[in-house]
This record gives sequence, C-alpha cells and structure tokens, in this order.
Amino acid sequence: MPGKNLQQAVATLVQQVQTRVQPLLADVTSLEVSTYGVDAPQFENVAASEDVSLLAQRQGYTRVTFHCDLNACTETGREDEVDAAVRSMHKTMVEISLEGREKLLAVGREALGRQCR
Amino acid sequence: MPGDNVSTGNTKDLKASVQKFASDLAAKVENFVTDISELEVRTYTIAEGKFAAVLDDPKKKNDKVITGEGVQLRAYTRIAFDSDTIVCLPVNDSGQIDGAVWDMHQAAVNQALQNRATMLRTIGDAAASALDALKKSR
Repeated sequence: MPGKNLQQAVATLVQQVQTRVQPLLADVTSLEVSTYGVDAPQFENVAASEDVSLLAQRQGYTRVTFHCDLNACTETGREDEVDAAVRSMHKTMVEISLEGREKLLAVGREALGRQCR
Repeated sequence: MPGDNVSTGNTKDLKASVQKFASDLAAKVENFVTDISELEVRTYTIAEGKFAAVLDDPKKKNDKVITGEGVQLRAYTRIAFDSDTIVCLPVNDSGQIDGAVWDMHQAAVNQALQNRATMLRTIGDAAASALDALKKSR
C-alpha cells in the first residue's frame, strides 16, 4: 500500500536522524582534547590504532566541563596538562573543538526542533 | 470528469515522489550516520614526481587512506561525534613540530568540521521537508 510505504520511509528517515542527534545532546557535559607528538615513521600505526595512547606519548590534555540546559551550555571548569612544545597547537585544537561542538549542538537542536514541530 | 482524473494522478505521482525521496534519503542517512560518528582528518605529503601515480590510481580512488611510494602521513586528527578530540602532531628528528604541515592540517580540520555541521543541517532540513510533504499529501 503506497500510503503506508510512504509513512514508513519518512518514519525511518526521521528515526535515523533522531537516533544520531539525541546522544549528542545527551552527552554534552564534557569535552576532552588530547594532543600527541608522533615521530614520522610511527604515524601510520598510531592513526590506525584504536587506542592512540598505546603507541604515542600524550603531550597535551584538556578537559572542559559544562552545565547544560535545553537552551545552552555554560563552561563550569577546565583542567589542562600541556607540554610547552605543543602548547600553541593544543590550545588551537581546543578552541576548534569547542567551536565545532557548539556548532554541532546548534544544528542538532535545530534538526530536532524542526522534526518535533 | 477528466480534470478529476488528472488531479488524482498528480496526487499519486506526488505521493510516489515523496515516498521515493524519503526512502532514498533514509538509505543515505544510514551511511551518513555511520560516516559522521567519527571524523578523521589525515594530512599527507607526497614526494615530488609521485603525485599522479598515487592519486590517479583508479583502484585506490575510494580508499579511506592514501598509500604508495613517496606517501607519508604527517598529521592526524580524530574527532568523536561528541567532539572529544585526539590530535597527532608531526615531530621531526630534533623533537620540533613541523609548523607548515600543522597549519595546513589545522585548516583541513576546520573545513571538515564545517562540512559535518552543514551535512547534519542538510539532512535535518531534508527530514523536516519529508515530514511536511507527508502531512500535505494526506
């Protein structure tokens, strides 16, 4: 029956979007950025590794915590351990990750909002 | 009346189109959902004179990673869907970070994050449009 197929197709589509976006909105209380210095010959192995820390030494780590409600997230704390050699790169990546996270959250909220209208 | 038949036919066509659109989109979303759960950016250098041999190989067009003579992975970033990030920086023999590679890699990571957000927005828009079309076609 065409009508039923249509509803199923749309329902599947909406469900898939929601399934992906909802965990993002649920797990937004912290952000972690880890920076590793890797010797050139080791790069392929490190990139292919599930757990990078087994093959490379971490030189920078930042954990930012947030308090979030339905409308926004506010930073509540930040811990840093960063070697001087990677400080500027690590700091840049933290900012990039924070911006990316904020953008993704905004898009996620919009996407869910439109589907719930 | 002949006009009624045309109208009924158009409505059926519209429903069939919306159904196909939604089905196609649902299939795409499934791949998209898998693709965006983890964002990876790899920056490579390729030895001079090896570019064509490495990049034009039709067998490797769809490979996730680039391999071949003269190819070297120089920087790598992995960003989970919740934005937790792992960065691997290229360190030379004297323990210094290669700044030129890093600059290019950083630009690529920024671009990839923007693309991911844009894709998510596009998929959300498409899902909302499919829902609207479904309501209107009832």
